[in-house]
Amino acid sequence: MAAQAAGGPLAGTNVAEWTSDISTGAKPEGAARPPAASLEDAALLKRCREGEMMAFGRLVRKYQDRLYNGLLRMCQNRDDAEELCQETFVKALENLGTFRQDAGFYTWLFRIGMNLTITRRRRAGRVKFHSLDKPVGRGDGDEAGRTDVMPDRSEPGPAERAGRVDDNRRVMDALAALPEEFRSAVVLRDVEGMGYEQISQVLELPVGTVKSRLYRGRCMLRDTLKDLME
Amino acid sequence: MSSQRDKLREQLSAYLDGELSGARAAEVAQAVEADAELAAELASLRKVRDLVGSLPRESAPDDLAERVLDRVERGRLLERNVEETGRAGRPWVGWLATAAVAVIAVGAGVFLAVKLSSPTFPESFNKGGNGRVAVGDSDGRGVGELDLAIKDDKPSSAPAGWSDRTYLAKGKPDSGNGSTLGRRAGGRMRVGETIEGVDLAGLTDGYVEPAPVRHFYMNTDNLVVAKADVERVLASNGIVYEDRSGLAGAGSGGLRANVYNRRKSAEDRVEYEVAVTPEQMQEVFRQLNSIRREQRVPQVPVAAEADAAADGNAGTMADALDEIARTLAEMTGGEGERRPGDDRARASDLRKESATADEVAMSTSPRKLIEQAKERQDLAEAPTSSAGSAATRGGGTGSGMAEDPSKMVYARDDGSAAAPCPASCPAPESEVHRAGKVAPDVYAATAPCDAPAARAVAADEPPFVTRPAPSETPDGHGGYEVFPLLPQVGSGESGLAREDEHKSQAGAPAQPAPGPTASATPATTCPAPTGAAGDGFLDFALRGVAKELSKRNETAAPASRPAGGVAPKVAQTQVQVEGAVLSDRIASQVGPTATGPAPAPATQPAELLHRLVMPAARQRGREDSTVVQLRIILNEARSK
Repeated sequence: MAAQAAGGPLAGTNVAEWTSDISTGAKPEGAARPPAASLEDAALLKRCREGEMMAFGRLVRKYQDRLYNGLLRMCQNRDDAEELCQETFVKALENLGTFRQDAGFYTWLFRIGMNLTITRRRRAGRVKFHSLDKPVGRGDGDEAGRTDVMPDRSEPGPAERAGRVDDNRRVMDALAALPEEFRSAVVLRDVEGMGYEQISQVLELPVGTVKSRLYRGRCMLRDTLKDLME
Repeated sequence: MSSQRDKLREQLSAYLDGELSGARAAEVAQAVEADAELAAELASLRKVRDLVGSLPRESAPDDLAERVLDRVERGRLLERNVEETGRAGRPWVGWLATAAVAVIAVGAGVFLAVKLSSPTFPESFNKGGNGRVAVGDSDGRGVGELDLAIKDDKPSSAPAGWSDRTYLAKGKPDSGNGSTLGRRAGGRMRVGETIEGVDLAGLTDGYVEPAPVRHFYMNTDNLVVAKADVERVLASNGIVYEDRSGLAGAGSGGLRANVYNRRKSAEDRVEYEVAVTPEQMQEVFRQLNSIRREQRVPQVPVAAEADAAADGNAGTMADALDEIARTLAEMTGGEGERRPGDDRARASDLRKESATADEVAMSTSPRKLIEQAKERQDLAEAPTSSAGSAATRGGGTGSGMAEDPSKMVYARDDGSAAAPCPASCPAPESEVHRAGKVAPDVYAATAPCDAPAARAVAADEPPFVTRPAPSETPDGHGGYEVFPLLPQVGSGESGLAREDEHKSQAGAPAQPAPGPTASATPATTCPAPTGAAGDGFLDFALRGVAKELSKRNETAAPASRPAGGVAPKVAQTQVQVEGAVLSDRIASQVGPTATGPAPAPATQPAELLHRLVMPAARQRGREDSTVVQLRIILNEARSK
């Protein structure tokens, strides 16, 4: 817990509220007790397996934003993220029988989403990633998530806000430029707020590898965003 | 030292995330405190983490959940159809693949236009040749091959009267074109069995008369998914294909029994050339129609969809309900009292009462827009007056086609004759069913009397006539429905040429005369018409919906009905809807009671629909299906 105090991994970030019902790496207490959301998910999943589509609809609505945002940060393309998101849910339903609930539903969902993203990119190159040199455009969907970046409402002043938008754009470009294996680790941790154990389940990697990739990925980002470090 | 430091640096990220054990974390904390460089690196990593973590979050599109559920639902329906056709299907598998069919079909306005060709074979079929002919078993699977030669001219030794076509010779291969036996013979060939009097196993020479074979053309959009839909159904009926198009996804060429060819007739069209028996083709079309009907694939111009989509509120469940409400109000005679917008306003109010915003959002679907446009199209094609219909009914067609009611008998799916529906029956007549617009189970669930269950078959009718090809329809889009009518064999007229005749009859309610296999219907089997047509319709509609709902409610208990307070019509149909609640509420508000004359309806039908039926449908999570059922019922009523 000392480390948690020192690092404060989620405190003060907007990730915290998103991860309130999934098990994160920082488990303060009662880690063995299944969170209420897991129980709710289990109940919904049971109804899904019995063919109740409304229950599945609730699961979709519950997780669609988180999944969409995560996939968007992976592929940086709104259209692709939406399509991948749909595919992920359909595939999840299709394979519901194989889900044994040894991991959280969202973890499992994200594993499907990440696999689809990676597979799709490798197969068809449809998920496009942007180079840092490429100018950002509008109107074809590729720019989604970058030019539409909006500052937090708490940001004061237009100048500062414009600066923040610019920073966000640069961060997203840097993220997109990361090799896939590092980007996935960084997105899962810093965007999705997953714990290392959970990331290892999603990426099906040992925790040590996750740790290493995360460190290296952050170092790469740091080098790319050097001027933002001050 | 350096190695130790590197190890510490690698731990910084995990330390930052609170992922180190207590001892390890303390060690790193101590090192960071003592080493300014490590502290700076930790700060930079924290900054990176904060930068990434503070990226704004984006929400999924509002209708994402609905799209997902639509995909799943369509896939499920298609899967069910595949299972019904005898193909093995796993409950969830295949949804993803089949969903694409519907999705793209909706977008592109897939159509299947079916034309009946002249019964004479086209020139391309007259080529002689030889080759190995695949022989299939009763399930259409290939079990062997036969060497056959096809000659166009009958041998000199042929008996008198044999045609000069389809001469078969076993084991006499020579160079030339491939065998066209399958196309000529039609049907499935079985090893050791005879086809049209020819024993293939012991075949030496012989003829196969082409009489049982009909040649069909089907056209579909040149979409892989649309083609796959057609080909899957054909394959499930044991009809293999011979690809002449060279298109991706096509099967291998070669000689096949029971063949159809596929070729690209235009950039956006694919033509299927099918030579099978009429019975087989009828089954193919039945299955295709079933799939399309379940998918609710639109037969409307894409422009209609675009226009509707341009309307910000179009396409919602609300619109679908409003349209139903309006139509119900018009049909129940309320148009003189109310303006067209009144029902919409009333329905809107009711909807606000009964549906949460979430539910409404979940039910938004572009498909509904298209259904609406389809209905408008159907309405435009429907007979405009009952007088006209009656005239058609009484006067017959004079065309020699099988629509003549005096020749019409009704058959259930199992082949048994069904009692015809008397003229007084408020239920829609059989032409709707013959037009393929109502699924047999829906009709069975709604028919108040012993009316035909699925299709009408005339005693001397040919199997079917189709809608016109796209270019012949007013809106440029053809239908896919197959009608149980056929031009006279040998007339040389195509189905297309007879379309005008067909259209003039398709919408006309044919009143069945008791045929040889039809029995007179006791008056008691059909409810007496109600005083107000609207009441009858509403009763009919509600009962249909109620039954549909009850079918889906496996745990619903039989409705209990209080004595003296239940409409007999409702009681007759043994409505079981969400327990006894809905049926009793319907009974209390619709139609005459068992003890006295019909009271004035407590409320308008449209209100009833919203208040009683739709909440129940929502509760079951089957809004789409319910709306579809209602639309079918509306179509029936409109065509009355």
